[in-house]
Parts: sequence; structure tokens; C-alpha cells
Amino acid sequence: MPSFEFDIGERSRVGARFISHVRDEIQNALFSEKSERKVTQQQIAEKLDTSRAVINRQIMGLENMTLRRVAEILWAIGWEPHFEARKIPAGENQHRPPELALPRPSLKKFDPAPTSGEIEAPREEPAKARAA
Amino acid sequence: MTTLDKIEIVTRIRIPLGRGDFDEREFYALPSYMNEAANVVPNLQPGRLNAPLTPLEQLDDILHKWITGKRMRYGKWLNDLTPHSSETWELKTADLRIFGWIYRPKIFVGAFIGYTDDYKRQGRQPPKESYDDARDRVVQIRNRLDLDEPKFTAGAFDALV
Repeated sequence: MPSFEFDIGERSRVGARFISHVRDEIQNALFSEKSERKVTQQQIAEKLDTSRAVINRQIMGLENMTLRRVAEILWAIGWEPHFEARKIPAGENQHRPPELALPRPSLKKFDPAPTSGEIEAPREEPAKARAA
Repeated sequence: MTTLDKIEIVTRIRIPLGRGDFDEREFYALPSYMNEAANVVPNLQPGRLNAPLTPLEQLDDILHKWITGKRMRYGKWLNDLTPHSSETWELKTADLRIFGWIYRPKIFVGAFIGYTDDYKRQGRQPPKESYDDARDRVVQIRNRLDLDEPKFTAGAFDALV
């Protein structure tokens, strides 16, 4: 059976999945409060001085929410957001490949008047040597 | 014996998984789905709901949700997945409808992808396709597929998902 990897590109994917993750967390919190305390979208809307329709669109992920609104909706149901950033391990980010992620230190002493042949142009090999 | 994994026109769909993600469910696609995912969805714009994610991102999102075993919701005001009659199912995003069926628990077969606005009335214009027609198309496709019975699994939402 053939298989196919559906890849929309890392940049699109990380952005979209983060937005979805935030939306899912809000939905999970709201579902929890709905089942425990019968919290309604109307109650949330009243706490935030907006309409139920706006809250519904935001919770369903049909509107880009500001960070402020994420915190406000969670506050309105007695929750709080938790966010942390972490570094992507070397080699797991297309913009940070392994060879760049772990650079080798390259320290050379600066010598304004070099005496070694380090920066001289390479010399041609003798013709005889090449023929051999 | 012809099981789903033996049919050449069926493609197993995978997605890049994030750290901590695992394959918890499976998604298979038929040729119509493959054509629409490759040639149609990338060119679609967000529809009348004006969702913040593009349809292509929505497709990645719903596949990610299904494949990694995230909670699928079916309820009054949130629907990720909707069962229809004739044991056809629909994975939903703001702008996309993935019509198919549950082959075995946690195994979805995507028959084709629809654009949500095409299933809604536009002013006085009727929808381009009704949900009933989409369901009938799924049944026809499933019936034509050279697949041993049972070609689908019936049961309660939580048992299948």
C-alpha cells in the first residue's frame, strides 16, 4: 500500500497547530466547567461585556484571538493560561540543522603580520608530480 | 482476502508528528481525496466563516487531531466528527468537509473533500451539493471498492473514535 506524508511546510504547520492547541485547551477547559458547573457561553459573554455570538466564534476557533482575550475567557471560567517557550532540540527544526546547531568553536589568534603560510595562496603542484 | 491495506488505490496518509505525538489512529485516502488534497485545497481561500487558518492548514489540523488521537467532539455546539446515516462519517473544519467512513475502530477512510460553503445555501442559491448527496456518493464509492465485508464498522461514537 502506498503511503503519503501530507506536509504543509514547517512554518505553516507550527503556526496553525499552535493556534489549534490554544483553541483546544480553551475548549477542554470550557467543557470541564460546563459539565461541573453548567457554565454557559452567555455567562462568559456577560463577564466580558460582549455577545454570546462573539464568544462562540472565538471558542470554536473561527476568530484569531488576542492573547488578552485568551486570558480573559479562561479567567471568566475560573482558569488561567500557562505558556512556556522552549528551545527546539538540534536537528528538529528546518532552520536549525544539526551542523549549525552545534557549531565548532573556531578561535584563531589574530596576527596582523602573519609569518606562517596559513593564508598564502596554495601553490601549484609540480607538473611531474601531477603526471605521476 | 482483500483488506484495506491490500488495495492499491488506497493511500495511507501520514503527517509530520510533533514531539510527544504518536500515531494513535489511522487515516486512509481514496483517489478523489488525494486529488482534492493536492490540487484543490491548496488553492481554496477561507470561506464565509473567515476562519484564521487557511483550508490547507485546517486539513493538517484535523488530520493531526485524528491521527494523534486527540479528543474528537460531537455535540451541540462543537463538531469535529459527525456520523450520518448509512454509516458514513464526516470530519469537519471551518471550511472543509472530509466525507468517508470508519473502516474499523480508529481507522478512517477519506473518500473525498468538500468545501463547506458548497453545502450551505448562498442567499437564494441552493447548495452546490446536499449532505444527502455527499452521503450517497460515499456509499457508492464504498460499494464499488473491492473490499471484503464488512466494509465499515457500525457502533457508538466513543467505541469507534
